[in-house]
Amino acid sequence: MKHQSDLEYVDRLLDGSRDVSGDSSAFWLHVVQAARAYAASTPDGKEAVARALTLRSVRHLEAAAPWYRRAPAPRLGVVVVSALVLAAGLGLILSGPYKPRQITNRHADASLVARGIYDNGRLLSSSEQAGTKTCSTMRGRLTPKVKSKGAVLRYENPARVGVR
Amino acid sequence: MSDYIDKTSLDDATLVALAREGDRSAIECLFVRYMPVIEASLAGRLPRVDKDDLVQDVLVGALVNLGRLRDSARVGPWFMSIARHKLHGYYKARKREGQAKVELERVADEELVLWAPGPDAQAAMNQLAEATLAALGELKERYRVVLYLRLFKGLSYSDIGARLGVRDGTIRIRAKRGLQSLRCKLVARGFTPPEPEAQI
Repeated sequence: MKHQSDLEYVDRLLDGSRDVSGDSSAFWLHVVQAARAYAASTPDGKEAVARALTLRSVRHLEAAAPWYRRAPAPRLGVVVVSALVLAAGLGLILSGPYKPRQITNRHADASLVARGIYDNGRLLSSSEQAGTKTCSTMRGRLTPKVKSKGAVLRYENPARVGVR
Repeated sequence: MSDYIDKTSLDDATLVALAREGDRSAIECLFVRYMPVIEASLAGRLPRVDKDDLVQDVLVGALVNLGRLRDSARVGPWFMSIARHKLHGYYKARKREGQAKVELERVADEELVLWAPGPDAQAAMNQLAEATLAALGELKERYRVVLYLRLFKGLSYSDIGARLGVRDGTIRIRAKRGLQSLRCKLVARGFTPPEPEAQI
């Protein structure tokens, strides 16, 4: 019997030739039959193509028309100008008319100023009122209280300073 | 639809040019033409349930990146490279989720295929097809693609060569070497063909 390679068997099987014989032909016959039956039972791909073109890629198609155009990267000038605008705005807020107003003695409760409790936006500690220096431990104890009162004073109506 | 029928006879370069201008039927025609190549590239490399999703990902990836295709005459290899890339991403995602090994082993360790005459013949044939796919998945891509297109899709060597941008002689050599490997892998999986008289 003439020796035939696997390739020749498969070619003859696929071409529908009847001149196929030998053990190898049986082997490849079943493989080819199984493969063809499997391929026939699976979708031909047109459905997948239609699905890809309609469902998941519709956004891409919209973005791509007339064809895909990548969004341009932000240019250096735009970045620099944006940074400058932000910096200017921040500076305006911190140093300009939007800075929290300090209540001076002129607008504060006159009696508090007169008694030495309040001085230009700051509520004086008891040691400062007494004209003595505050040691570090005393300052540590008093500072929060002074700060909290100072914060209240800075944002409250000057007429109400001293009520709290 | 008539648009689509007319464009099936166009060559790849023309279809790509039309597709780049947004011609939807040209895109569809291109995809249908190269769908077997994409399937061949993924054959036996992942579970069947995930294959359809990945094929769709490949198509969407091709759609988005069609503008980047350099050589319009080598659409087949381009689709294969996208499929390879998506498959790599799939493996990475599976690895992150800690289930890649399980899923791929499930594909590779299909039940042994034995010849079963009678009512079980159909089931045996399905098993043989699955085992063939799994064995193809273990082959190198250049063999796997050629054998899938030849055995499963029934394409001629010249058709395969045209789609892959390779000469017919090269395709034939790949088929020959691939079939030798495939036979070894199927035999190793336990497939023994029936005696010649038993199959009649």
